[in-house]
Amino acid sequence: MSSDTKTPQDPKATLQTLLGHLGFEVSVQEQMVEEQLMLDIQSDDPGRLIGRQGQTLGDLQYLLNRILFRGDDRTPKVMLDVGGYRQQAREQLIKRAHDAAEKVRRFGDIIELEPMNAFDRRIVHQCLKEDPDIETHSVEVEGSDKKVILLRPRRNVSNN
Amino acid sequence: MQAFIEHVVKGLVDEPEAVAVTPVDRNGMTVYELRLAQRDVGKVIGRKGNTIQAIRSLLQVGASKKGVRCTLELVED
Repeated sequence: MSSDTKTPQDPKATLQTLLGHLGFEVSVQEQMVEEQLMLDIQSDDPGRLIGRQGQTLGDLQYLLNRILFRGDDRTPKVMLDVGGYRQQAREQLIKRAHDAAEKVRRFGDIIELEPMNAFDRRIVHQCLKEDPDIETHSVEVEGSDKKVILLRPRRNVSNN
Repeated sequence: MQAFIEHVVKGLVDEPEAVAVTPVDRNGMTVYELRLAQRDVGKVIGRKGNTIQAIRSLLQVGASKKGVRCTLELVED
């Protein structure tokens, strides 16, 4: 097996090798999502690859990126999906973010979303950053790598 | 499973040639003993143990898929 870690590695081939070693028969489709490479895995056993609340998928994505980064530290981050699972979760998350933003707009309250990992938080921040009425902040949760996102009415709206 | 461990670990370290994985049978379970260059230990463990935790978690997924029992131990001689 090649162990020349300085050579940039092909994300798709690296992923397929990893999953092959773990006993999974997969095919992988490459897509671009918001200028990021997304590898969508089609497998005979998707549930096992996703894991509880996407835990296994998250571990796989983390390790793959560590390996790719090791090979070439200009490597852009790669996202993984299994049969559209993450895409679906992402759409639900965006919907919840917009619903929460709507409540903040209507009632002026501060709303807190549940603790999320960095990937999910990025989705929320990104989808609300253009919103003129809402600002978002991540706040640490004790004893966890996750943070909650606070949505609040945007302050210092340029004096009109 | 040994190939998986070797592939991942060699992909993470500066000295892949120093990586050695030894399978040891312990009560019907395969324990993979991992040895590597001292300066690479931190890279394989990761911040707050994130990296080795991810390796172990995927190892479990592969093991249950194949119906075997195994664990990974980092050995510092």
